[in-house]
Amino acid sequence: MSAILTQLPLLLAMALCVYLPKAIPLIAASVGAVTRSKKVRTWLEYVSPAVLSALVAAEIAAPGGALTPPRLEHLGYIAVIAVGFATRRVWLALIAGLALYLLLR
Amino acid sequence: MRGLPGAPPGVTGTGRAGLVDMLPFAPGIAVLGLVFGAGALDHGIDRGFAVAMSVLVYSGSAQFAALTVWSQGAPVVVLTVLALSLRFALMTATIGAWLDPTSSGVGRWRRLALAYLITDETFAAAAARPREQRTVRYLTAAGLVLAVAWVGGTLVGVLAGTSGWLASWADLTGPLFAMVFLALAVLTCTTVPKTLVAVIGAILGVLGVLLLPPGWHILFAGLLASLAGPLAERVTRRPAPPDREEPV
Repeated sequence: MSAILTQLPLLLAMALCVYLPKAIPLIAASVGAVTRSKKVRTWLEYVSPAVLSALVAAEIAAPGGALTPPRLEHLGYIAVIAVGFATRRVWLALIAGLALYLLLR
Repeated sequence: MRGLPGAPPGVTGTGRAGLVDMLPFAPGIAVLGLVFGAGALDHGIDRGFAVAMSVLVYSGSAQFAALTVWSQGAPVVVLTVLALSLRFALMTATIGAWLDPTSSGVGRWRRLALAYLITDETFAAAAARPREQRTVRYLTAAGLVLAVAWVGGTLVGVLAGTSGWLASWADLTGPLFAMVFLALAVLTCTTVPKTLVAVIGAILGVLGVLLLPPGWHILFAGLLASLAGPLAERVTRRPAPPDREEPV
């Protein structure tokens, strides 16, 4: 408990650094600042595929900030993409990808 | 997804959908929480402080990054956490548009409470759902599942301490998470322009992680790739329709 009290400012600072980037845009949208413009709404439709693909591509191709050479088990990721597009089912894509990954590992 | 009897179709039951959608994530999140809890002890962090971090900070990537720079002092820790968290601004701006107050009646205080529960995983899962299912109830249920997994895992981790078997579990969570996110990313590609944007985002994401300071690549790639969306629409000469109802 004493460690929490002495380092409370650090804890709160970290918490705010995570919370404020989440809360401010969400609140801005509640006053219509985000949703009023059709152009902004159109742009936001593309944030999901952009952010998710950036997140996952970096994690697969360059974990830890350095490019990793492709390995055989990475075919599991190809299976996820193929089954995902074909079936539009997360569970099926995941099962196919994991099975191939573990098989080739 | 059909709603429960007597309820507006596609809306009721979204809490359960949030719970179900987090099932692939929850075990991995719990293991990562366990790894964080044990890792915090390795860095000389008090048990109670580690758990308090998981409760108040509530961000796996930021917390793990904080551990790596812990010895460099508080200012570096805080800046690292901030850099890694800026990506949430794009996500919650998008979520804010989903929860347009004119249609959903979601007030400011509920948004403030909901903001705490937003993570990469809840955003990804909600984005893959049909538009009418991206509700406060869905996001809250999904967020609570992960919160319990994360904090619970941390608690077990600080109590169990470091152990060799943790490392092997952690080795599998990386690929598992990547595959879940990949599957969800595929589901957001409902049109040709969105698929193009996803490809651009992937390329920029890899470039960003190689060239930029830690944590900036998602914001960089997310911004640039998403701005290419309207251009991609013109190039493909077909306007992207609003998100279709796609059963998951």
